[in-house]
Amino acid sequence: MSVRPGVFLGSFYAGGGSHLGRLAGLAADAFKAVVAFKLRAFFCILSVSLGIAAITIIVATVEGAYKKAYDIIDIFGPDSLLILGGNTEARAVTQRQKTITLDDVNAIRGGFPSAYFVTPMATRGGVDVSYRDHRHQTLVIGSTSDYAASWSWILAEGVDLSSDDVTGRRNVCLIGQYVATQLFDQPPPLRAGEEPDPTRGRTRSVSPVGKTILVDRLQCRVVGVLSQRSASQMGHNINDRIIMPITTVMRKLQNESRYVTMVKLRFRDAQYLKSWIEQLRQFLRQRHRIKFDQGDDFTIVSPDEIIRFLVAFTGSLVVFLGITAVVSLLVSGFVLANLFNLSVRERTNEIGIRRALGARKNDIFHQFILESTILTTAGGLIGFVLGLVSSKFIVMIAEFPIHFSWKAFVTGLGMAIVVGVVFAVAPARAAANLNPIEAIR
Amino acid sequence: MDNHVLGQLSDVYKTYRVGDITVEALRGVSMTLHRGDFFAIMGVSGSGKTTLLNILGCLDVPTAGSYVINGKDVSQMDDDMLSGIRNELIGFVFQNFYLLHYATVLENVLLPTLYKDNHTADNTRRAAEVLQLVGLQDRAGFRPRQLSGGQQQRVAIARALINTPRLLICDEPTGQLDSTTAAEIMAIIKALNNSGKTIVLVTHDRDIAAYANQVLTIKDGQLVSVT
Repeated sequence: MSVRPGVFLGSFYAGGGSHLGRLAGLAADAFKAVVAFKLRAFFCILSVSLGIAAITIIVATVEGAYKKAYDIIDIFGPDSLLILGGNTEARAVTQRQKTITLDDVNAIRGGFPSAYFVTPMATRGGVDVSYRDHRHQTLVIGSTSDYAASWSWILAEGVDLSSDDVTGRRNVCLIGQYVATQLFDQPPPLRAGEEPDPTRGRTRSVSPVGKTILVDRLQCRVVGVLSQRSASQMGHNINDRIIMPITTVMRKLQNESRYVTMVKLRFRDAQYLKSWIEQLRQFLRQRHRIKFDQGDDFTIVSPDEIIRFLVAFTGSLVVFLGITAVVSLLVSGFVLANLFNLSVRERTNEIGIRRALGARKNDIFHQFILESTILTTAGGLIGFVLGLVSSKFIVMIAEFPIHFSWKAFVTGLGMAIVVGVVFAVAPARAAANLNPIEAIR
Repeated sequence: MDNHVLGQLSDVYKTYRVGDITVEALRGVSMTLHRGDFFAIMGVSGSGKTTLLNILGCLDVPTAGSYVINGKDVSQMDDDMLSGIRNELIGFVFQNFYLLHYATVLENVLLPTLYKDNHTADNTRRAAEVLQLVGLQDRAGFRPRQLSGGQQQRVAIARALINTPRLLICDEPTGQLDSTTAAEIMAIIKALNNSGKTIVLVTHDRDIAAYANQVLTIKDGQLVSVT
């Protein structure tokens, strides 16, 4: 008769209180042995904790990537779609064709009543803006009156663009926090002989609202200031922008009468977003008279797609770390198995005594599995702390989103326990199957 | 079956295979253990006395013949049942004491209770009792290495007694001890026999064997004399 691992698990389920009582006694006993054999404990915990630290960082990195993705989705809007002119697969972003017309926008408004926002936008980058002697270059976005609402962007001061501003092609604007800082904030007063220091905090003594700034060559009144948004999207500072009526931007800054750069849509029934995407695609293909064998001349960006992009962005690093983690866990597993083989050989006599005193094969098997699991659990806990600490260094070296939660903790601990059970099976079985007569000789 | 019979060996054979050679360690041994018996088994090394002790202690089973203990034939028992018999019915005392060096005296004494099926008994109280019996009640927190050889053997006796066994198997219990200490240990064993425990003791020493009520001599796997 030999002990199989199935018996180990079986005894947890099959037995009632007496089995659990027996196991609790064995666990307390195993704990004593763990403490007694300090060198073995040290090396087991060391090797397991390194592996678990790696696993913890992986999980935290994956979580961080997803959290970052969802932060961005949150800004983008989970019920939102963005239609861009041109096909991103065919052309680089900077050379994007303009293919979406104002007529398209109106048609979408008519054809998709479930879209509660259909906001066309016309953009122009690198526009010179100035207020008195403060100069800055920024991105100008022409939009209809619901810009702040369609991006769920709260105003820090003032009011949103009105529909009268849009129809009247008025020279009014909303400015982002970064633009407000650049144009309206004063550097701290210089003391005698002091050089200007750009890193010192600026102070704002006037409210930008109501002031007139120069955008390109247009006199433009600031009606509102957008609140600060923290997420920087792939290196861009999203607070560095000016919003103006789309009519003003197209006529006075772009000399454009038909084409818009993009359209933002928000749908009431976010759960059907996938089908809205397909309907929208067919709708636009039809309007643009695209033959069935030709590609789209526009791109629809959805929250799913943003997540896919961001996750792919971090994917290669995660794969690399993942392989490292699996290898280090395997290594720690084999280290553990070897240390336990040695331990079983060294404690042959003890095993014989225990068997003579009435220990069953299963009791011996459980004892070693428990010893191993206690050690790897300790290794898992230490590994989690190691992971926390070393991730601080990773964040310092590479700007990388790492997020720790109970998931990283539970995964690390779970892996540690699995390693403890799996790699101790062979030595524990060898111990259980020792012949007691020979073991006590 | 006689109510006073604890164990019955009937025409027991034990053969081992060592490589291609078959060794007959026991060749037709029969004996009866009654409650309160005190046997000493003597014999030169290789005579089969250790094998006999192993079979009496349920650490091994006969190749042929039968061993009935407490009314049950060991050939009908699986490994777990034999473990249970060792745990509850039999106490072991070894020549080298065989205590766990990393556990305290109390923890060593409690070791057999770990493998008991019902945990209803108050083990700590019982441990205090058996430690009192061997005169080591004030050494419960010590480690075995802090004790003398005689004290260690007394801990081993306390450990053998904790589950109140009927049969005590003693394998040269005084082999590592000087004669004064040996006499102290034998006095404890004799007292246990007087209180009703069945004792089987293996020894080389005629003075030790003299404590027993019956002395058996084993030679070439057979009992040759019963005194």
